[in-house]
Amino acid sequence: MKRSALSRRNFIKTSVLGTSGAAFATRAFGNTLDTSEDSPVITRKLGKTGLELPIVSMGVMRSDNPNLVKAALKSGIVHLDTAQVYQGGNNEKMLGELLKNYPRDSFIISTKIKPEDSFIDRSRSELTSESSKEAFLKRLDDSLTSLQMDYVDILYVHALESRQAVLHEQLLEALTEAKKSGKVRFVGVSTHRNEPEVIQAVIDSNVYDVVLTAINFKQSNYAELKEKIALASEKGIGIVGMKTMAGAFLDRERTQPINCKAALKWVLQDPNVHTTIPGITSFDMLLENISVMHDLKLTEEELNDLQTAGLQAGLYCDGCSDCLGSCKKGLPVHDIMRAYMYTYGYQSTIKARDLLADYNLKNNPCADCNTCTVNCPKGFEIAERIKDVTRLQDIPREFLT
Amino acid sequence: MKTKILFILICSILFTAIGKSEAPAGLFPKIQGWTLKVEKMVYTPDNLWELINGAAEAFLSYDFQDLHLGEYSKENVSVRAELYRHSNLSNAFGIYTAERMPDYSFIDIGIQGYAEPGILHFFTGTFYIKLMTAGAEEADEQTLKDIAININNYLGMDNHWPRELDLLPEENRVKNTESYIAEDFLGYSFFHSAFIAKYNDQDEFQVFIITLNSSEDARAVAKKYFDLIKCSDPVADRKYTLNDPFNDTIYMGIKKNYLFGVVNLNNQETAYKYLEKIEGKIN
Repeated sequence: MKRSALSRRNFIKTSVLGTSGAAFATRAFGNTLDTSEDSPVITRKLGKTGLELPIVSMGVMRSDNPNLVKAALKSGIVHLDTAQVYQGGNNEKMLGELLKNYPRDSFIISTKIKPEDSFIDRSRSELTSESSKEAFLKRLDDSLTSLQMDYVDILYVHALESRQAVLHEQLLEALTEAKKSGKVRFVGVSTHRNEPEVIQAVIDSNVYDVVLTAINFKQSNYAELKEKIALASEKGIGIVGMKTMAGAFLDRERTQPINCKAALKWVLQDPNVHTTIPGITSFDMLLENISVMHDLKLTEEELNDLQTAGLQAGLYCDGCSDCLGSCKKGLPVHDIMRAYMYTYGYQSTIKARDLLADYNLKNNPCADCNTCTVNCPKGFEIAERIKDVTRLQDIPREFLT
Repeated sequence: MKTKILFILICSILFTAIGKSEAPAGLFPKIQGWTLKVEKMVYTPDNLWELINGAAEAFLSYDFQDLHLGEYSKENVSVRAELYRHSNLSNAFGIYTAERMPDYSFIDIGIQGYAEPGILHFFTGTFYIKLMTAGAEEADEQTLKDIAININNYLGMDNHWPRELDLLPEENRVKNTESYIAEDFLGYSFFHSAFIAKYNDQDEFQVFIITLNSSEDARAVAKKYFDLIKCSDPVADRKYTLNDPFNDTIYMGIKKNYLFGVVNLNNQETAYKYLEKIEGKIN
């Protein structure tokens, strides 16, 4: 049953310019996208910013084709999302070259800036006390130069993961100053991890206007995230969704595509998600996303596809850390799952063995345990995987690669 | 089942390891006078985003395999080394050039590299390597170069540019603008990938070349495009002026297993001159 659903999607995907190619050509012809859908563009207000945005915006991050951005703007998309680090800065430059030909008030641009690497304590997902306001503001100037603009509409601090980082004093001062200087209209945070904690900190800060959060049908913390999003929205925080396609594929080999249109619609069923920034790199992808902008209703087939995909747990640990402390023997389950990923995903048994050696684990440490108390949100058979991978300890290191 | 898979995997690894004269010692060389610390965490396509967030998408599109991190330290100077490994030369070239600007200060390390204050990036074989100052004191360019040379020599990759670049005419090509688009070239998924470079010949424009597996594949892909823009079926060894609904005028030629063309130019005579040059290079 699952297989046939996936096969159908494969067919749809591979034949997008085969069977449906004619329709695409007809609609694309005439130097514009025919967006004369029966229903109007669905828009939502981005919290207290007051910006009324179509529910689909464009994640420009991987697109190096300005014609694609042009087509997006023609088709009704108004909000473009980039970041300083995308394509080593070339993404912002490409947008700058294109957008200098458009009236400044005809589009909304958001970019993201990271605090300097040396100021990030990765082990604790925190910013160090030396994090500098000046360095951050200098980066903002660099982005404005690349974008050839006097201001950006939304400036995000890129990829924060903890309350401490969101509320870091130097950072808040930098954002307040950026806003005051007129170089930024609204400020926000982007987050890919610990999203509920980050969103709560955003609410508590009274500084941020917008949150850009990972959100999709595969997230194990979705219920908690949805609650925080509702709370933030109620407080006037604008909510932008990203990673809505949940990686676009179910498997590492990228042979089982997710029904991306359905995944996008699913996220947008929540009215507190004000807009989304799916990454768009082709015209057929653009057309698909534009159709969602006009019609959010999930078909039965799309719901089935999502259900099928949602039931398939990912192959590897995504580091959610929910297992920490839950093993009654105190095993470092998340690191053992990482060793499992090294072995099967990366095929580096030596890395896996070294990681296991740090904990001095014996072969099958679960052998004398009758009941597993670890509850993995991804549904992994933890004891099985531990038994499997810890066998590496019995193999001499020099025989491994 | 999983146990069986692991057994097979270990057997295959044992066979590989025993077949070699010695097991690989890691990707980072020891450099005299420097302390090397290699991170155990290796980033893969599953978790690259944890380190570089949304920028990971671009790396994945170039078939990123893994990322190894190391740090060289001496007194107050620390240099962080990031070794991004991709599946093949074209993909490593692609991600390197996606982040390259033509006006950088280029250096002759690996296939090519560039240095800016506090950073040095280069690519060699299937690796894209980034070095950057990580300590209190900024590493000077010579220090970064010394470390880069050591890594390059240690990896011992075959340092040559992708062969497809030889098919792009050299005359009037703007230096260091060559790049490789791994997917959705011109915004069309059927084109997949292409090598492209900027030219300046009175006008500024770009020339591209798409390599397919066979002449049949080349015609089939061209046919998809021609159908899309309502043009009659493509014929090999002919030059076309096409009206693309999104990319304006495209000049295109087909020869053997190659599709090639000129974009962002409105001058058929100049465009055809370049198409002929490419035709002449395809044997």
